[in-house]
Amino acid sequence: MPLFPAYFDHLQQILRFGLGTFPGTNEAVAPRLVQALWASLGLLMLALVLSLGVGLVLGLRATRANPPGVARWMTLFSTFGLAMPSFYLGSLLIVGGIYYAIQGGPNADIPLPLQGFGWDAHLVLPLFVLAFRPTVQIAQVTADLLAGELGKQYVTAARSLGHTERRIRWRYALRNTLVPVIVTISNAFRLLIGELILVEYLFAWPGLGRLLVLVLVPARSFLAGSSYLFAYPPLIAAIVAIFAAWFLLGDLVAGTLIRGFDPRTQGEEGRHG
Amino acid sequence: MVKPRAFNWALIFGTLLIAFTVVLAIWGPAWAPRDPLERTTGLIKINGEWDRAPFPPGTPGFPLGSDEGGRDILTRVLWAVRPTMQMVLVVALVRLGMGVLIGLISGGGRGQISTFFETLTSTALTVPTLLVALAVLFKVNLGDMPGVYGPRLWSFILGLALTGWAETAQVIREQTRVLLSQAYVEAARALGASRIRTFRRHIVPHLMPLVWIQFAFEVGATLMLTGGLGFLGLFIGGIAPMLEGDPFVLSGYPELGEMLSTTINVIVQPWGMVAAGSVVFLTVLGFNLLGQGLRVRWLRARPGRETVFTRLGLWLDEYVSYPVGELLRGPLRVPLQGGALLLGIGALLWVGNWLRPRLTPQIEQLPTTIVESFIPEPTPTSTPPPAQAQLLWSFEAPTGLPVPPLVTRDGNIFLITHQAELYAFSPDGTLRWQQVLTAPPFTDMDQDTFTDVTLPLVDLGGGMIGIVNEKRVYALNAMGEEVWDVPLDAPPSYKGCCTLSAGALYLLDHASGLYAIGQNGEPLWKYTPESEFVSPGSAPVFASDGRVFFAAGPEGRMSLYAVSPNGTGLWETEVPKERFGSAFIGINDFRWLDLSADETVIFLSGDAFDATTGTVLTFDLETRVVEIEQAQNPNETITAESLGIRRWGMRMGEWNEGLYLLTDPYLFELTRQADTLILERYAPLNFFSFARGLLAPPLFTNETVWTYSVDANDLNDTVFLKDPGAHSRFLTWADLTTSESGTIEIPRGDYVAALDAGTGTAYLCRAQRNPDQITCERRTPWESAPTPWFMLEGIRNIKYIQLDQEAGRFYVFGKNNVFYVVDVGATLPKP
Repeated sequence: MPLFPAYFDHLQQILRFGLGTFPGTNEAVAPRLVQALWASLGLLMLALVLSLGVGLVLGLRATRANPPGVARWMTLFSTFGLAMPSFYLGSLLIVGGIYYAIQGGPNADIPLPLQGFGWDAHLVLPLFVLAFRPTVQIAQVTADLLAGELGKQYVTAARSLGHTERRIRWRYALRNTLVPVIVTISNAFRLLIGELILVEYLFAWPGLGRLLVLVLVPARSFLAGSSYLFAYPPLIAAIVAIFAAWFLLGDLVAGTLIRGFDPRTQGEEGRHG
Repeated sequence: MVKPRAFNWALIFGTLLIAFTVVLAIWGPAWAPRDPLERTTGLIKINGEWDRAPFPPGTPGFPLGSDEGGRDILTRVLWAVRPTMQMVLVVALVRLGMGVLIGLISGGGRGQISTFFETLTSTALTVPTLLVALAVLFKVNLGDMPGVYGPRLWSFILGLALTGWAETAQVIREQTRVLLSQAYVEAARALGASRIRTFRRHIVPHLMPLVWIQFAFEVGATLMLTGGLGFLGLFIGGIAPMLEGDPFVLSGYPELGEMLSTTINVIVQPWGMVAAGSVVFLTVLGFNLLGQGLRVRWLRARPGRETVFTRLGLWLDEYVSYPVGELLRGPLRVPLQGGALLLGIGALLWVGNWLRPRLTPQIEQLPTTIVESFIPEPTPTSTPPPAQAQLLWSFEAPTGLPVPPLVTRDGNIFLITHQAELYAFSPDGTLRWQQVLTAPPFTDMDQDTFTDVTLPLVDLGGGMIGIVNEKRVYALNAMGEEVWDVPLDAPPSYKGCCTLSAGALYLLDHASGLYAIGQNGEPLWKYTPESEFVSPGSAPVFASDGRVFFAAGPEGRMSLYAVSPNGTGLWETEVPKERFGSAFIGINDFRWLDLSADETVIFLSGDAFDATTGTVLTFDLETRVVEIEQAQNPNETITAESLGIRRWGMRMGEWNEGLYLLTDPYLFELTRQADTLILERYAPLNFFSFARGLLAPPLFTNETVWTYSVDANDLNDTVFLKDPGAHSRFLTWADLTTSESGTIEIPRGDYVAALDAGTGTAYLCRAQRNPDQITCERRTPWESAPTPWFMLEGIRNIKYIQLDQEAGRFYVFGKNNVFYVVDVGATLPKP
């Protein structure tokens, strides 16, 4: 077939979401891919919400008001947390689980499923490992920013006007830190996607990240007996496209939020912050 | 705000940790107690107990334990720090350089240039570096074929630096903008300083503390990424080493990424991972602390605050840097610049040459060792044996014969050639019919040998044969006419392809769909597991009531499935991988299922399952251990877990007669007497040959247990099954009455072997030239020398041989595509 008709055929096939079949089987790629997409997206969103909630709370709690500063434990926590590779943390948890079972004798059960998929107890370990570093990051940045804000003069002014400490924090200081915090959250989202690959692989979570490892890393897919997935072009294209869409979407949301929360970006156009 | 006089703890601890890493990197290899490649194979005696690798931490000689190959982890960690840190430093420097440059341009550039680099930075920031590195490593080195010993230093630099510079660039850009708006910069400009001069004299010096801070963070981030990539199996110089029986291929000199890459394999013996991971963690921590400490110091620094260092700096400025600088800017400028350029190029070349051998570990293939062999190797006998065999007929195929023939129960012989021609012979050698199949014999690349070709034929009885190809299964009658056909949804897997049971044909496809096809070709049902990417893990086994059991699973996680006679799923149970430690590691994911004689228990590798409910059975055995070789602990409680059981097997399939537990490196027999289970331990089996034979079912005769493996080119005997390791040439046996065990090595060369389990005999044949003849001999474990069997002229060479006990025949495949049928009826011992 000449080049261009073949290419248009290919484009049409893509537009119909016809990604073909898995090599060596008659099984269509698209449904499996959608399953993997949901598995990953679920994990990702839960981890994002978790790290956001816990990170903000930790960050707020770690901020001292008078004199403004960051609590010691937060510094320690963030230093260790940011240096802890997720695969190391996850492996240690799995090893811990196995040793718990071995110590407990033949009838001891491992308290949490160490690997595998399920919207139940299976979520606990992957979620914990995945959300760990983003949580630390958000907490640290929030605490730093808030501590900086609390030392400013308008806070002193608000205090002298008799506002409660709580109101000062939530109404004034936090609002002013919101834009950089959103930037941090969008950074955390990227960090999450990077970590997602490792975490899904470690915990055998059947999502896009693990699929990507199967497709891109020869040793693993070979060992796994799923060598037929290695370097399979439609899968690579589909996964990369999905990841790219996530990044774009993440950036778009972050950008919109920043625009919404930062009064400076709403006025004149083309002004750099 | 920070107190000016407070201790800078971050800086102190960070420096200490980095100093520790640096010391490890420089002197680690010198301090290492052993050679990083030295392997301890076979058995060693530790505190009175025989054990084999991986050894746990605290084993004498292995302070941190060993890896699967018996290599000392402490030594490997001490060796691993240097190459990893070298690579990380190089990558971090590249990232830093790019980041500073781009940051300066986008922060201080004008108009379009600035906008362009700003966009570039934010684009690069969008994608996680791990993802980019994965893609680059895939594209640069690994796209060609699996198993290529892959990523090199340059692909790592490219992968980790392609977008890794962006964070530094962002930080530098912001700081450049801040500095540009300072009054002194404006003053310099007002005084007429050029842009370049402004940057050189006023911006860059003020950026330097920030650059150092960034450098510390970059090293930490790069190391963490390197660890992550290693964990996924990508590290400099190799893909993850795997223990796949034989050959034992391990990548050579250790690297932290390489040590992490085996984490998934040895998650229950994680000593290597813990050691390497801890080094990564501590080093990242050190560099992060250093970065923080430097930042604190930078923020604390106040102009005019005099310390010893500032005074020293002033003195140096006044008496050293300024005069020397004047000299350099003046008369010495041109020659010095030229010299520096030459020196720089030379240094780059030198560094490259120096780094290359250090950063690309050599791949070494280490020979396996045979621990012991009780029986001497067979020697070709010089006296020709009596010729008792007779060549009945032969057939020369036009093209090669890739697969052994199908010999049906009524004696008909079917041969398939490379060109997919199917020949049907009657027992006396007359060609009944021939036809060309629509598809050649299918191959299955899943196995570790890339050449496995399986016979797609199955004896359906009554003169009918079934043929399986990629798309369908169909039947031919005695005349070679197609009687029925059934389409398949996916290509069949030869693991468990084509089993005939109770009149129905069962086959598994690549996606683990189990088909049941009736006698007349009517599709009865199809059962498909609901999990994802399930590939078959065993051949199906059948209970007498028609239930079917098979194992399948993705990626080494195996589940056991039970299907009712009408094709509905009964239960599925995930095989508890953690339970028996390394029992599941390193062997190709194909297992043997055994159903106990009363059909209540299924055995799959190291596990036992209840056949009706699928629950995992654990045995806590109060046992008496009779140790034949070392009677040290006559009364010892052994739980099934503590044995590391590789396989369960039943003698004659009956529980009461004894359950055999094959462990490394022992063979246990479990018998039940009244209410106690007695566990008897037999002689340690030859470890390596035994490990090779593990996948073959031990075949129990009255006296002898056979485990077996032969070369991949050799023929599958009707009873024996081929070992997945491609190059093993050992027959291992154990005699239960005398507690002896041993190995018969099939000599290299033209020797091929066939085995007869019924009489415990191995037949070894060898071809000779001038005159063309084959010489065959018989070997039994009880005799120290082989017995001459027969000699036959007219056969030039042998690819494989096959015994047909019932017909008293011997089939020989020549390498020259000739198939011979030899009558040896008078010489075969009757079963």
